[in-house]
Amino acid sequence: MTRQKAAVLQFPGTNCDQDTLRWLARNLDLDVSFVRNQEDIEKRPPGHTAVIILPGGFSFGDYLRAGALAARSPLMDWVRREAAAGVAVLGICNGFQILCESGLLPGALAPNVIRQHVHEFVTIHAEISVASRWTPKLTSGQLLTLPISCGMGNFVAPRKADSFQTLFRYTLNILGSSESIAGISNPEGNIVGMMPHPERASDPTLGASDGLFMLDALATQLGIPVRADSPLDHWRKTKHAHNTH
Amino acid sequence: MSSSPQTPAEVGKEEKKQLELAQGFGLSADEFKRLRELLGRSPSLEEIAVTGALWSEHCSYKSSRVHLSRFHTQEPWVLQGPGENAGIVEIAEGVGLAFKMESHNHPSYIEPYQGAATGVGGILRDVFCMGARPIANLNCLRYGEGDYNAHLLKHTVRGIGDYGNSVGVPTVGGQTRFHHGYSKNILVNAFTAGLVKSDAIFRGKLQNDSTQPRQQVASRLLPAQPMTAEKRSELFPSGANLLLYFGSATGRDGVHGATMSSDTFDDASAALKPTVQVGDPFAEKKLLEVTLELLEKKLVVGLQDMGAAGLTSSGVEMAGRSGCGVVIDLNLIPARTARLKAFEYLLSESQERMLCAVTPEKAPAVIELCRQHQVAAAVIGSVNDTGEFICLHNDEVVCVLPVGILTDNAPKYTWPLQDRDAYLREHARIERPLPADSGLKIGLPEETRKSLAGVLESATTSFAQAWPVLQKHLPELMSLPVHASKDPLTRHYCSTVQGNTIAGCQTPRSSAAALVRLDEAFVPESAHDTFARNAPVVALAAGCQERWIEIDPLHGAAQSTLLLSRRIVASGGRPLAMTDCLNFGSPRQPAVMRQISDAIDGINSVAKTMRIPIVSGNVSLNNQTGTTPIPPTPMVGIAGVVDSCQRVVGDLPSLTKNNSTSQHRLYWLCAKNTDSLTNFAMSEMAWNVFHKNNGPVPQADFASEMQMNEFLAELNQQQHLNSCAVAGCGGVLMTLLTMAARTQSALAFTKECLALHVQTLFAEGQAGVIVSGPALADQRIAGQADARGLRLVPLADLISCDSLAPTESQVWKAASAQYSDSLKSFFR
Repeated sequence: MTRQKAAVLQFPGTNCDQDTLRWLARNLDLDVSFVRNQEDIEKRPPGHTAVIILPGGFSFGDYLRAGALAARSPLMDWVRREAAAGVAVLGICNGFQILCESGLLPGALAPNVIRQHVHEFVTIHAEISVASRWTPKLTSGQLLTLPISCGMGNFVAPRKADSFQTLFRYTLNILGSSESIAGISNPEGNIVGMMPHPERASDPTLGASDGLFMLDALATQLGIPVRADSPLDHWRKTKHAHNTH
Repeated sequence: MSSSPQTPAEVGKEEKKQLELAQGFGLSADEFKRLRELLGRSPSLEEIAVTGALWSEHCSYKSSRVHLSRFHTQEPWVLQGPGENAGIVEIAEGVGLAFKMESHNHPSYIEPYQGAATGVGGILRDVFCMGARPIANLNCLRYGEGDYNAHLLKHTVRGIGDYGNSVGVPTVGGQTRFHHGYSKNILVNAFTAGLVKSDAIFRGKLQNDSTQPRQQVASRLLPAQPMTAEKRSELFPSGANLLLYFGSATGRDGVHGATMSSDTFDDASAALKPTVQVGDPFAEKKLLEVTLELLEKKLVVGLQDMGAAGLTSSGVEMAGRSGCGVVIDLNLIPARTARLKAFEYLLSESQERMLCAVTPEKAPAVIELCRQHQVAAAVIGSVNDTGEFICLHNDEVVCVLPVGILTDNAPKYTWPLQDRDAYLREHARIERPLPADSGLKIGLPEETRKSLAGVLESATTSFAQAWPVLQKHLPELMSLPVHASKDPLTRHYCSTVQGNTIAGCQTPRSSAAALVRLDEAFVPESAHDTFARNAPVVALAAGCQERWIEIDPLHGAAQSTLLLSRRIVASGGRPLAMTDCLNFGSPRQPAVMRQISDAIDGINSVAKTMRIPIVSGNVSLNNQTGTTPIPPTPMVGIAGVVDSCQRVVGDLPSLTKNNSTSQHRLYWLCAKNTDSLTNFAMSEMAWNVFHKNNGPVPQADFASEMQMNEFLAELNQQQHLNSCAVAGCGGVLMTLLTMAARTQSALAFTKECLALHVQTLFAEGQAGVIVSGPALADQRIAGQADARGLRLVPLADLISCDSLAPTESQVWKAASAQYSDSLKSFFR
């Protein structure tokens, strides 16, 4: 069976591209590569790509509003088409800002209420009974510890409450987001955006593994095999051991 | 030049005018005379500008070179020693770690945000122009007190964070300290480390073979005449390597930067604001990617970033290393301002620019790659065999300087040194004034000070006797900026980007050194599967103990450097090499020269004995306002390696922060003769309580340090080390109290600890480490320590505050809160 294909977008100024690619490649049996220009897109006809990630960073320097320039680049037309066809899209940090700026997700990201860049490990809780391509439908609450690193992470929710669903909320809302929202998806659940970085918390050596929660859900829903002896493989075994107790 | 013959009076007038001009570009009267003699003619304005910049202290190290040559720089694992943009050591098989530290003190005082940001930008370029991908930034900061310093603290930290975060290099550590002596001259020293495959190290040269040039053309070009086709073809020989400029366009920013950084501050310093450069981290990120790709594809011959003195220094330094000449047509430089003058092109310190040498065949490919990365590029000149630095502007020759004049023949000064004994006598006791009481407050309240003095005065007071008073003042002690948590600063820094940070700022794990795992791209594919668990780890530590060094530059610098080396060892690593950033006052003061010379010898004693060679460095002199120099601050950065992720040792028993631990016993591991290796009178505690420090600074005991290093490595190998923290600022006791504050815990002291003299617990110097681990209770391990001349003293148990009576628990909780919150108010 051929491996499913994943794309990690690179805009000028993206800087979480390498770690995001590794996050996928280290844990999942996926064919992952970068997409940074028209040429790369032409190699990817409709139906070719199963997963798209917009990684963090400072696309085009973020000198206008964070994500504003990237949202208007030709790469996003491709993402729009793929997302409409149901591909699983995840925007992390700057990726989330780009998704909101491009209208793929509703709402906007404003400057943090504390008016400064913040890097910190924060606790978020995953909402119960909401489903997305990147999160499981939970029956009980789940706490995750992930790092945030942003200057514009203050999510301003849209008026229309049914235009999105909330996936994660901060336990301590230091950025000032509407209803403490840390991550959302579109109503269909295939486009997800979040400020915390799961890709930086998926390795026990670095002292944080909760980001694997999202890869676990993705792998389950898309039927992607998990690489043996990977952090995700170990994480699943431990989780299973806990569940059988 | 005038066509009619000049009268002697006119000649004298002309010379006086030229001298004034030269002084404006930073040359002294003697230096100007030297230049005229070396040239055998009157220099042009541009030649004066170029020489002024390159002969500045900042570029030429003219006052320190004599002393720097004593440094121990070679060991088998050194791949590149001093002389290049950064030093490189082999960190794993076939992988080099390039690193360097540099100062950006003067600009940061004038314009803190941009000054600090561009400091980070400059040091990043020094590392990636050698082909290394930056993996970690550190910063060493020094502030004084009062309102303006509160402003400086806030904005330098923002500048450092915003720049590093945007480029995508994690800022993982460093050291921030406070001393009234920095109030008018803060220090901002930035450190970057990067990884490069050892066969891909890149150096700043112009051609592959060193030539024997010396076909000087000055005589035929001067006095300046319009260019002819014939002359052009002589200057731009066909087939020769081309000089190619890429990066941001050139503007007027930073003109005179190198001369400013080589000067002391006076009342006119505010007028220098326009000479501070402005950083653009997005441009830097693009420059980083295009540079590494150019080097990987082997498209360029040599490369150098344009740092201090911009195009001038990069062009001349590359020519100097290659023994050839260069010609630059200034009108070909991408400019962002119209009508730049020739000397402005030459001295501009506009940021994010590179100069490289390429063969004519590859130039189009280089320009095309730059275009793809949206980076401006242009051929601006050529390499030739003249041995001269030649510049054209508006089709006229404006500068023809033999490269040797600018490099080897730059002035070298052997300034007078104060007699060592006289220096020691004068500095046997150093004092601080009453602390400022607004803005950044770095001292204890007067009543607290008096109350603490009562229990700290006598050398025979036991800790048991002193503790009730100390405990009462715990919140004030923990809120002193020097002891308080630096999290309010470091939360501006993204420390986890790139996904390899094991211990840095605001990470779940913490350690005595900053720890960054080797990136997967630098290990063979076959090792990738087990990589995440077994990869080697880069360990980094940087800082300086300025008060010890002020009392005794020789022994103080040795102790200060040894303390950093101990941080690497405590994290589970082996120190490999170091870089330095020597911040001092004016070399024209004999006492300052004594500090420079002795500090160099002190650092060097550690380098030689502990085999930690010095592979790169930077000197920042004239850090003084009026006649008062800063405390001598030779900042050192040490790079080491932990052989495997699994051998990493944390500095807190639980390895995770903010996690109330169950009981953990903490032991003091130190030399048996600790009392003679440490001194209470030179400690932070004595400084804060008595407002003075006294010598002597104990001489470093390298033998006992080596015993300690070996013993710690053994314990780590046998997995007996749960944690290892270095007894640092404030001695053993402040280190213990900090551990309690960081874990929101309390300490239950052992009877052995309570019986110690309180001064012993606050003493600083070669004060050992604080370790934990269940096996340490074993008598056999105590015996092994004893055999090495070391001892293990049980100090305290780290316990949950909730296990204490409410009143006592309250004090510990207040101390933790003060510790965390003290510096927060400066970042609102």
